[in-house]
Amino acid sequence: MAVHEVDVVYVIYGDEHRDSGLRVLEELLDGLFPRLPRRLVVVNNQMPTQTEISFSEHTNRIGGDNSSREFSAYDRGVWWLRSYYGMAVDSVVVIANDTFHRSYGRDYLELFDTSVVQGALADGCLVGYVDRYPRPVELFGLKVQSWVRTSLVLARWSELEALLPLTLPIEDAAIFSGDSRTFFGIPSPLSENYRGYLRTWLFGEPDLAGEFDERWHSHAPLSPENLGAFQQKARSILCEHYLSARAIRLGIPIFDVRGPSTASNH
Amino acid sequence: MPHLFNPLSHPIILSNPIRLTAFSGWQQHIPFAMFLVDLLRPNVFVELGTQYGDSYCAFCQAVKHLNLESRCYAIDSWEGDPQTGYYGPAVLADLRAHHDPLYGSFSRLTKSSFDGALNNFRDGSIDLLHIDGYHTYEAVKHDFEMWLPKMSDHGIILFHDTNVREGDFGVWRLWEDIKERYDHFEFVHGHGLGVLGVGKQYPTILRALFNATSEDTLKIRNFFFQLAQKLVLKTEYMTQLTAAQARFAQEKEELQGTVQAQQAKLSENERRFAELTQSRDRIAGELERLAGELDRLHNHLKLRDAELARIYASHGWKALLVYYWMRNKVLPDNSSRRLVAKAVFNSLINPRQVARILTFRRLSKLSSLVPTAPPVVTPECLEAIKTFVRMILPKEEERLIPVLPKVCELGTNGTLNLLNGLEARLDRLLRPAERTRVCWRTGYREDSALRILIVTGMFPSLMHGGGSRLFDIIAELSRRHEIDLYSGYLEDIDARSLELLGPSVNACRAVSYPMFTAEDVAGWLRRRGIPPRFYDVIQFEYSSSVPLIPRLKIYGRLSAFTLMESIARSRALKFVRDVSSDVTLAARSLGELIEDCETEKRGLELCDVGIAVTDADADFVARLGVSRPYVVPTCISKRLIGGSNEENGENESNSAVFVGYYHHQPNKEGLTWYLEEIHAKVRARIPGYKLYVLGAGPLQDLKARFGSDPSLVFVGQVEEILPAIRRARLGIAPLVSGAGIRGKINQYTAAGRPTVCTSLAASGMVYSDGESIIVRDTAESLAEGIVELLTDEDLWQRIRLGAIRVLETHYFWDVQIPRLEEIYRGCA
Repeated sequence: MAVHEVDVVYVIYGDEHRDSGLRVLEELLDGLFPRLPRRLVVVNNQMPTQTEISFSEHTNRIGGDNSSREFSAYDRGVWWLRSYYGMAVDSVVVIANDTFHRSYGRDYLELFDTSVVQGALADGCLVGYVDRYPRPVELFGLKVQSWVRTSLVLARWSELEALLPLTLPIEDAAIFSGDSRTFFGIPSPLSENYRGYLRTWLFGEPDLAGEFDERWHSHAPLSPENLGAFQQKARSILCEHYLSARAIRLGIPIFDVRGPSTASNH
Repeated sequence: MPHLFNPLSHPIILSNPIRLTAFSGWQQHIPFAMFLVDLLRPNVFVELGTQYGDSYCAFCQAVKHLNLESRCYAIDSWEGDPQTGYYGPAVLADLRAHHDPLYGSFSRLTKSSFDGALNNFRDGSIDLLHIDGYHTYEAVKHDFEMWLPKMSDHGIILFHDTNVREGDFGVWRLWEDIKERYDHFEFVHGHGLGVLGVGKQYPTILRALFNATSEDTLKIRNFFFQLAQKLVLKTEYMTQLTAAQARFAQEKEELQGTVQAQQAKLSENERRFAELTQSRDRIAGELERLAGELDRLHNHLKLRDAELARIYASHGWKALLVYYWMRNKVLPDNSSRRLVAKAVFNSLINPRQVARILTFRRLSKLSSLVPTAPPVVTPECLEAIKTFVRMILPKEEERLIPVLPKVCELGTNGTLNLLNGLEARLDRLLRPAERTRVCWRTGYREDSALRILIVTGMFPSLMHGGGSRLFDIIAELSRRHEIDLYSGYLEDIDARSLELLGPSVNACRAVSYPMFTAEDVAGWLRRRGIPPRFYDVIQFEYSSSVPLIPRLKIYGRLSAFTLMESIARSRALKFVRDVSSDVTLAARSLGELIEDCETEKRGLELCDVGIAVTDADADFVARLGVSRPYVVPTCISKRLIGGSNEENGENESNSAVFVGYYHHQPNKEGLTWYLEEIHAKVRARIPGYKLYVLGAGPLQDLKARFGSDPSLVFVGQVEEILPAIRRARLGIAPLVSGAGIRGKINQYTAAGRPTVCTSLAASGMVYSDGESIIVRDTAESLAEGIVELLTDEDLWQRIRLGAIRVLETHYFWDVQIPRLEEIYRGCA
């Protein structure tokens, strides 16, 4: 299926990294999809939700929704693109936020090889950089071990549409206890090892099984003061993993830009 | 021993232990423990090292079962040691929960070190001692030696783990050291259990145990090992059972999680379904209404066709056809005979009849504006219509007035609707005296919030006067009403204003100028599901929004057009000026004047309500044959002023300020005139005189010409305008062109500074020369006015305070916003 246009949702929080990120993104997309028309919407989560600015026929900026951080903004951006332009099934949708060009360095972007990415998209894959846990985890009844980093994801509209909305349609009360001593509620829709991995990642607690030893750059011990912020962060992570889990459930392959050998689908 | 030992004599060895945890290695000796209690029947039993309590509870169970009068003591720190690992209080709590109800009457769990408990027992008082504490050689030797004196003359000491030789376990060594000194027996299964007789008197069977031959020793060991196996199997079974229960509980939890997730999804789907159903019902209702409307039009068409058919079939029509045929033969079109005949005919007809025909033609035009809903005619409406009829048809009044209620009653059935648009037009036709008595209430609730769409060619930007006006209006109205904003946008100039205004509006779309089209607005409204007649008011601002009016009007119940400045009047003033100086320029001005008149007239005709910012502008456009617009002057928001009326003493006593947005040509022209003709005159008379030029816009040419003059400071755009004005002693507005209101005069006053200006700059405002403003029209007199204000303190104070009084009375939005709301509600 030939691609005729590229639709881009770029999410920012404030204007600080807007232009630098856009420059890198434009450069990347110029290489990946040369000569294809591009329609861009920048979603600023600091702008009021019902505000939109159109600078030209194909360049727009709109107010976002920060309730689920970048995921609610992605949903808003995709919804806006769809209602403003309409989407063709063969269009490619690129979703990115303003960390993709800052957190992982230049090498990370060079992994996005033109022919490989185009081939994976033609095969109906969700394309991006894939991370994995030591063992499969379970969330909301779905199993997943590998997931695509949502700071930069590419997919055809036909695949992405099946995965909407990208936010988690589950209330906090079903996931979290609201208590800084326990964090997760019991019974939990998350498997025990998954809760352990998340505690290690977020709070720096040792993984009792000794399998997982990675920590978020802003990890900190949980306290009543930071409980709300950590719940929001955890919700973002759940959104990210839930996206891949649902893709797998729907038979949408996840393609790792590091190469076909690392592509995984559980 | 075997021939002395009959199990049937000691059935307790076959008892099932009540406490069996999955953690204990001792359970294989429980049958022997119970057997020993039966044999020995101890008065005092002590266990050193109890932990989970499987062994201790087995001893207690035997005591209770045999109904003995024994007293039992368990001594442990219940904190663990390097060999068992350290553990928390849950272990003791769990043991207590089991132990206390069953054995609390004769047994105590003592949380203590072994040495610490030593003094609680008299020497020679313990009949049975079980040492199972820290298992190093030194520790167990110490325990043995310390507790040995406490043993009675038929005392037995049990050592656990005599058959463990790994690590630092040293019980086996102690056992090797001491066993030969005492009667003893050793079991080697279950990590080994040493039985040491440290007294002198023992029951026969126990004596036989100590003296057993090698062959009997093997038989005894095998017998108790077989009994122990039953317990091992039971423990394994219990462990598996517990694990299975835990697994089932976990799976149950996970399934519950899945169910909850699915329920949440189901709820979300139900909510969306409800929304879609609601949306479907709304669309169905709209379709039904449109179908009804279509039916009504079809019926109307049928009636008209029937009426036409009746007319065509009538004798009169046929006679008329004959008459026309003959007239065209006798009096052909455009012939002189035809013109003469027409004049004669008109002179013969009754002039009163002509007037009547014209009047009814006007009324029918009025009613054919085909508004739709809501068809409500209040008594106030009826009175207004009567007033109108009296005004335009005084001679028909007597005949028509009694009929009007019937006409209005018909109106409620849909033949005549008095919508706000029509009301507003009718309202404007009434004389002011009558207008004050009429308040239109049809269709609106006076106290409710209005839904207002503002369509403006220029963004409500604080960088220029018109934008500031709109910015303030939106900020004020948004406190009570719901405002949507569609606007042209320039990122460089308008970004900050958008950031400030964003939270005040309900929805906002800003577009670069090529995209500022009716199609774009309609698309925005459509995407948001806005139906026709959704807004109570659509406010169009600036001439650039006029082309959008026809397409967008249907989305509002009332449309209003604001002349932020009458460009046509501004152009007319320029034309008058150019005629006397440059004929070529004047010719161009005339062309532009006609074009601007046409645009403004069209804007006012297309909208139900017109709004101007000065009486001069309103009067001017009224000459174009449209109804005179309402006047809502540009004001100042009180909240922006703060303590502006307070003299802060920080101003430079010999300075003036000019504020303007220099994309607006009249500002640039006025500043140029001042710099060319006036500035030098003031500077010559006031030492150290300075002019601050404030505001955004291109001034490169003036900077190039005058930038080297140190008495001129081109400040440019500032974040806060009032503090910047306060640096100077007075404000100037030397304008020679343009129309509209001069926001800068109000800004100077709000900052507590008096103004020197031309009469054109002050036109349309209620400041009066010599009391609240200084007005001069020639270069010399204007320079003189500035000098007077800078040198005469009394005059400066008088003009300043007079201006503040005018500002407070006329130019605070608190005063004008209610009037604007009245206009929007059709009550002005």
